Amino acid sequence: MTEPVEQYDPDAVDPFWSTEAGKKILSEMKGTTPDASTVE
Amino acid sequence: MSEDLNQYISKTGQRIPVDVLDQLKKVSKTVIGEMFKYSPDQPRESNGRFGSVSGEESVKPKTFRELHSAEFQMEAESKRTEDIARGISKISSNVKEFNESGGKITVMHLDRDNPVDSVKVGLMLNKVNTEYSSLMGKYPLGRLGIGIQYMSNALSYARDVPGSVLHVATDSNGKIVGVLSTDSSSINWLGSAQIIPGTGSALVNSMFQDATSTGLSRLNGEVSADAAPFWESVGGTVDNVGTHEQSSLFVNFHPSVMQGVASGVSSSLSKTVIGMLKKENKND
Repeated sequence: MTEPVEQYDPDAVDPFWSTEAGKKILSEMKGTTPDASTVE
Repeated sequence: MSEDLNQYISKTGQRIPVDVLDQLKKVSKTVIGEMFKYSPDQPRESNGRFGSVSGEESVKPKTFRELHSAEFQMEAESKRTEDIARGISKISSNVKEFNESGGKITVMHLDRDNPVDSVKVGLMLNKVNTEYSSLMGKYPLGRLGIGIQYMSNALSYARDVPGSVLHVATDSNGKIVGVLSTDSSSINWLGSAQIIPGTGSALVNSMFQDATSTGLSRLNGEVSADAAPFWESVGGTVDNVGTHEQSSLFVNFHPSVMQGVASGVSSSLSKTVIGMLKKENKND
C-alpha cells in the first residue's frame, strides 16, 4: 500500500504567511525584488 | 390451414391432434435443419464460432468486454468533458482572484541569440534565492519550500536553456511570487511562493495565452506526483508513462482547454467546451 502523497498546490496561500514570522519576512521583502517587466 | 385448424379446435374443443402435431414437428425439423445446415465453407469468427450464414460481412455481436469497453470510453469522454469544463472554470475564477489581489504576470521570450537575456534571468534568480533563503531551513515549510525551490528551478532552467519562455508572477510591490518556464511545447517548472491566491492558475493561464498566440496546439510536461492533482484541476490529463520499474507522470492539455481559457470563456463555459469537443469528435 502506497503512502498518500502530500499535495503541492501552487494556487493556495500557505498558512505560514499568516504567522508572525511569515508576516515579518514578507514586510522585510517588500519591494526588494524588481518588477519582472522592468527587467525585460 | 390455420382456419381449418381453428374450426377443428372450436368444433371439437380439442387442442391440436397428435397426428397433426407429429407432422408439424417433422416439418419444423426439416426447415430448421436447412437453415442451420453444416457447411465447411461457412465463415467463422476468429474464436471458431460460425459467422454469418450468407457469407456477407457479419455484424459481430459485441462481447461483454467490448460492450464494457465502449461504455467505459463513453464514460471517460463524458468525464473528460466535465474535467475540462471544471478546469477552465477554476482557472477563470482563480485568475480573477489573482488579479484582484494585485498580482501581475509578465511573459519573457528569451532570445536564443541574446546573451543579455540570460543575465536578466540570472539577476532574477539571485533575487529569488536571496529573498526566500531566509525561510529555507528555518521553518517547517513543507509544500511552501517545494514551491520556492521550483521557482528557483524555473529561473535556472530558463537561464540555461536558450529559447525558453518565462512567465513571472509578481505581487503589487514587484516581488516575484511565482514562475513558470516552458520551452517549445514542454512545460518545465512551475513554482509558487503561495503568497497570492490563484498564482498557479494565473501562470497556467498566461502559458495558454502565449501558446495559442504562437500557434501551439498542445502542451505537455513531466509532473511530480504531489503536483498531479493541481494539473488535473486546471484541465490537464495526467498519465503514467513508462514501465512499472521506471515510469513518469506526464500532463497533457487538450487544445479545447487552451483555446477555451485563451478566448476568455467563463459564463457560458460548459456549453462552449462541450460544443467544441463535439465538433472535434465529429471531425475525427
